[in-house]
Amino acid sequence: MAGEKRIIDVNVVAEDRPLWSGRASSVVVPTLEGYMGILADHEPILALVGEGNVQITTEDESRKAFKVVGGFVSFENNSLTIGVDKCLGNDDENEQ
Amino acid sequence: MASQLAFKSRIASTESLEKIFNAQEMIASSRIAKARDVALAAKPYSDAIFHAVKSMASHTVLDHPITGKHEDNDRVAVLALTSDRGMAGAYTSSIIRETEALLNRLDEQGKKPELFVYGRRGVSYYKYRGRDVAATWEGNTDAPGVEIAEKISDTLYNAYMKPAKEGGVNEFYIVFTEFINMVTQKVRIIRMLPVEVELVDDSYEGVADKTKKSSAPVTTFGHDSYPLYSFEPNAEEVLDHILPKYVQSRIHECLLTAAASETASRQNAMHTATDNARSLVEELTRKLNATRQASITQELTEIVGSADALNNEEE
Repeated sequence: MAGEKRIIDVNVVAEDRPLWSGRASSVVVPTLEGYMGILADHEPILALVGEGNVQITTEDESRKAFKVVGGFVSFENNSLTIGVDKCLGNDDENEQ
Repeated sequence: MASQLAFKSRIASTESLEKIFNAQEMIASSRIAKARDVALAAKPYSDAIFHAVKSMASHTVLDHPITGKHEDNDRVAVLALTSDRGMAGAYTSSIIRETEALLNRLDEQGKKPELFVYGRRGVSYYKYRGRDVAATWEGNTDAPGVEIAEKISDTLYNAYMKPAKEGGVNEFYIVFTEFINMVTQKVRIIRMLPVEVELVDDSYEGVADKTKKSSAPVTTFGHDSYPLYSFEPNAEEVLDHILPKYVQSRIHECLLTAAASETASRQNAMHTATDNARSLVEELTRKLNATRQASITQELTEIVGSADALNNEEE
């Protein structure tokens, strides 16, 4: 990825509140069939989320993680939405 | 005219009621902001799931019972959202009135409505009258969480998905109060299931604008502007998981707007009650003063009268 970094808009929401939204360079989502890494220009996809950690590498290379159970993830036009059934807490690394 | 003592005790009790109403009003107004925040916080999720359903509708044939059942069944589920506590003016009674009207209408159409009730007030209303209620839920009507939305939607979704001969229902209506603003709340009936899918050949932006503006029960889906999608694990499983969640999220939305309406109508009712109590105290105080004056006047006339009589005797 030489030159300009490609960015995806990420929006993580739980049923009763928004969890995080912002710009990220990569996101790893625990789908039912294993972890799926998403970079910019991924093909449009709608997948079910299983149990595990959503890991987000943000624009400025800091990391965020949410422990989630169930939900769905949809990606198109470099915008990623994760609707989470249950969020069991987040552990941020490098939080400012 | 009543005695002064009677007036005094009525004034005292009205004053203490006024204090209660006033406190209730203040509690309600402090909760409205919170109810609104909760409703706003749940909005991104319902937007996200709406969007997901929309993309599914444009990429697969939505051949799922949720968009319409093709069987001969006249059973219909009706869910009424009432409140747990009273002191909310006509909130519960207007819900019950509309529900009754809807039940009668369905009866006239030859359908067999089944009633589901949320909220202690509504439950006790139907229990007292010995009516058949399919299922009830109580608690937290003024701050409904995801859990209660999940319970309600599971029950109703299962009732909907059951085949007709096992007692399934063909349609599902919800009667709730829409929050328009602080002074206006309107009872609305919407058909929750089957979901109406309207495929519109419109650009995606236009559809988004339209859906944002109206919270109309008709779900509008754009058709041609989405790129090709892939589904994981496969389209059917995604559908089976997302659609119940979509229904749950819409029920939750109704619960939240009903909760905001309940709080607002409680605040209004308590405001009016406080005003009434104040004017009642004023009126009673005036009457008390009038009786006091009347009794003083009477005493004076008696004194003057008896003095006159004494003077006459002396002459």
